Amino acid sequence: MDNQTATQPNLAVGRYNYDEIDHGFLQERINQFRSQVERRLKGELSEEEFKPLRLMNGVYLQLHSYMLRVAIPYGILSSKMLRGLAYIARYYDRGYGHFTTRQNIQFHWTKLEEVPDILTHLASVEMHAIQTSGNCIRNVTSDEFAGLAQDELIDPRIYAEILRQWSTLHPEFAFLPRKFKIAISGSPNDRIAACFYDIGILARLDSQKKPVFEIWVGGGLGRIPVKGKLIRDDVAPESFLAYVEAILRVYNMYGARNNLYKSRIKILVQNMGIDAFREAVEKEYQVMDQEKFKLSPEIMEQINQRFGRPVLQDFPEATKILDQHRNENPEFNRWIKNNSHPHFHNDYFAVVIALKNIGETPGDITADQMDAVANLADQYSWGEIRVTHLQNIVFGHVRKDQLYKLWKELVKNDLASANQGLITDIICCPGMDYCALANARSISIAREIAKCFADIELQEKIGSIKIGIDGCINSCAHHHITNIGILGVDKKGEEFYQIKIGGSSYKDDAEIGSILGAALTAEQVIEAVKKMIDFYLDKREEKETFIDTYRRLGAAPFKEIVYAAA
Amino acid sequence: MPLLKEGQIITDPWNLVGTGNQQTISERRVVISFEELANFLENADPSIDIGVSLKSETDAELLKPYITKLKLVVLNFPVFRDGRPFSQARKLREMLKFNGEIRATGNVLPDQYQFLHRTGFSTVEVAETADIALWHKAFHQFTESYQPSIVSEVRGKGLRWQI
Ligand code: SF4
Repeated sequence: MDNQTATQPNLAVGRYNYDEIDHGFLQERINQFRSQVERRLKGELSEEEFKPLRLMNGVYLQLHSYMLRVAIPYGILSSKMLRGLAYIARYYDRGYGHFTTRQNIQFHWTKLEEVPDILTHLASVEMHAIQTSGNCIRNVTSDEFAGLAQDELIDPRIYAEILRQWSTLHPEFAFLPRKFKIAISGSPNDRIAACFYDIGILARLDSQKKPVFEIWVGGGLGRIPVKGKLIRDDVAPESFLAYVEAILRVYNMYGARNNLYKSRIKILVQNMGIDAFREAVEKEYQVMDQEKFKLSPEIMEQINQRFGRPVLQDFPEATKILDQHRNENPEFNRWIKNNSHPHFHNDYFAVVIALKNIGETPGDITADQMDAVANLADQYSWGEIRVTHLQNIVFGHVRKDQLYKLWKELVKNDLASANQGLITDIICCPGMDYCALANARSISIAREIAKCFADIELQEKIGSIKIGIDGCINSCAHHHITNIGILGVDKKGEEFYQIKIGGSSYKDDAEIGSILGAALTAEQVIEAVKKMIDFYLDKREEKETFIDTYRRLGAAPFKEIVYAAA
Repeated sequence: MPLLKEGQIITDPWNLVGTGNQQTISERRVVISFEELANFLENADPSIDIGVSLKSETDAELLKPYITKLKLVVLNFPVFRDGRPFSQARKLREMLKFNGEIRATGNVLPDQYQFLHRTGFSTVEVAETADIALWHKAFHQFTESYQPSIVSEVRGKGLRWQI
């Protein structure tokens, strides 16, 4: 394609582009971290003192080495950034990276001494690891179809960027009771699991048909999964930052600090009750200097200007050409059917590149694949790459007639799995293979389940279903709110797995799954999934998905099937 | 213990002993714990300077009835990870319009110095062994920030403020 020029040709599409001040700031931050590492290596900082400082820069001590978690703000990368990540994977890690469910990428094999150099390299492609860990405001996640979805009311990326900037080294909120995660979408239809974040934000039209934000607070997973509460459904976009600031003020002061398990905002909201919590927030909101926090049209424009935008062109034949290609090639047809998403521009589609090849680790991507994806993005999607909370990649704006060519390239690079949204599109945390907190392996379970359902026709027959697999109760892979959730537990030093059933992630039918029964061994848990799926296929009524059948029948028959004496 | 203001050592007119909330008196100045404050004020000589020390869990708003009588508020960090004193200080400046000295005591790191400054602290008490050069550097670590603060700063483009 020859016409991939953005509105401002020197700005990367879909994300905020740094100016000199942003670059200077990042350099100051790296200098600070470099000196922190030096102080630690010289023994001037104790590990206890160093830990929160390194965590605030995304450096974890893992099972085998230091892990570096790099933020992908609102999930959007440019091809240049992705090539930067490929470089880091090659030269500082073992040739690959791992996309997480929070739109970050993790490098599991880094050396502490090298981290400042890695950060310098990241800074050259406008990336950082600031606040990807620690008890602070973490990387802000967003809707993977932001800026292209047909139902969008407000472009959430601008607001996500505002949150990113505002939360960066926020003087009052750098030492919160616990970590704090915000997700934002500009659509009324929840694609971000808004009710399961510390703060989840959706947009809607008010009675005057003006877009406003709906703010959910106190949701979360982990040991105590809680569905968030609606604190306000009418926050004007210009007041949005002030309101979020007010929520954080209340949390910082009153969130529990003496008990790790009670320190998330969800517990505070539960204990105070949403009404008292709201009152406390309103009080802060009223007392603050709102003028300072107001997002005036000038401020919005100054930030907006730093976003590159694609120049979408009408190409009325695009759909016809796509249909021809679909008729010619059933495999391609399947990929389009399963992996495409409508675009507000009729001649374009968004497509999901699933990082879920059967037998491989969900979310893993090799350096070569990163380079390949970067090149393809340059050719087909304005150099823009989106990373999803389901550990896949999205190309946001591909002209329909170009999809066939893109698909063929993806096939060559082993990136054309047509399983988006199907049973092998599993969300999986790194588990025991990497994570120091894990009780059990999760990757091997994901691989085994995927193998059982490798047949794509079988997958399509099963239809839409979400499986999440976690190595511990932290629930990075959201097992509480996936249709089938699998949780690794430790029983006297052995790996066991608990099954949850009936979870659902998105606002309208958000639901925390219920525990099916006693924990099972790895082999048993895979058998159990097979049995539940067979049972569902047998019992489902017309057009029912797995979750529909579960809701109609309840957990009891599934339990019976799984635990019936073999 | 050395007292820092804007990265420099200054002499401490209050001459506090330790970081606890014990009452410490030097001639015409008294620092008292919040718990004892109300009682003390009832019979206090109105000509003396009064300071109060607050635990990190205490809501700073509780100082409201006394705020005009106070010259100093000491906010203690039991551990540097306890971020509440940042909110307390901001609240004192913003909600209670306190413009006396706000002092940080306890376990604070130089890496937090700009956070202290930007939430309204005026001074920091550091350990005898503290590396003052490091604190001085930390005070000037960043020149730009991305959020408004309680101190007066110059607004830049977008969300930025010059520290
Ligand atoms: S769920 Fe647990 S084991 Fe898995 S990555 Fe998160 S913390 Fe580690």
